[in-house]
Amino acid sequence: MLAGYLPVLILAIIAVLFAAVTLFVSNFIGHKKPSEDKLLPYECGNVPVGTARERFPVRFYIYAMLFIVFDVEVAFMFPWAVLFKGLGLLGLIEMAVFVLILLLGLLYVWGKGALEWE
Amino acid sequence: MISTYLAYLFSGLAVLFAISTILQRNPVYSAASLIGVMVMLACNYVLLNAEFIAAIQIIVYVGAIMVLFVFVIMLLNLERAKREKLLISRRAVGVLLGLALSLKLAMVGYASKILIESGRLKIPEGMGSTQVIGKYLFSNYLLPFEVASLVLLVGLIGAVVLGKREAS
Repeated sequence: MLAGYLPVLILAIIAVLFAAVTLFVSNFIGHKKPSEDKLLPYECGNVPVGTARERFPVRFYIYAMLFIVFDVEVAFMFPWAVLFKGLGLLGLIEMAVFVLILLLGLLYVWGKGALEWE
Repeated sequence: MISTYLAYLFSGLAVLFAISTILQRNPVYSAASLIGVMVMLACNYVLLNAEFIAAIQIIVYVGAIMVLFVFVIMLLNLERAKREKLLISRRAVGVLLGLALSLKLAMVGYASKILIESGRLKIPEGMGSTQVIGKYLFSNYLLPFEVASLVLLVGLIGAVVLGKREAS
């Protein structure tokens, strides 16, 4: 039973090794000539206008919440998709009700203009 | 059995990550340690043959809930708060709450052990697999499933009410 997870283990080991080796090798063989400009925090190429450690606007929270809500919605769809053929029309209606309720939420957010960045 | 040793390994690592979560002074490091706890719990779910729960643990908790935690850290700028020492009284409250929660969890675990061993609680064959969870979710537990979407809707509306300023 656990043997089925061997590929997952191998993938995890390779992923960790890849990250670790990349960091180690570039740290080891890379030349370091730090200058004041190079040590600036990287802000997409712009010169930073202040510390990055400041309070972020609360409107970011809406995006995080939107992400969570629809992430959980999709999580519920996995078992539904696995069983889709066996569930028949009733299963389709069940999921339609579920999605419709969340669609109302999306329409509410949209109607409130919360998707706009002002 | 190798799975027993693996369970001890994952549980031990989970405890270490949990200790790291509460000892880190920088809240972002705490959040990163919490990811470790959640991944280790997911590994334990796999050992318990609950692969669907393990996948959901990664997708929802490590993926989505951690995003929310990190956003809250950013929103509150906890960077400054990290240097503040906690009052002894607050620590005492934390320890007491932690002990109470541990006791409750131990009781739940022990009670379900008794219920299963006496045969009063039957776990369906293959429980934890995606098929079996889906089968129960879309038949016996249909109402909780539909209510879940309402709970998500409430969360969504709450976020908009909190985060969206009315145009004035």
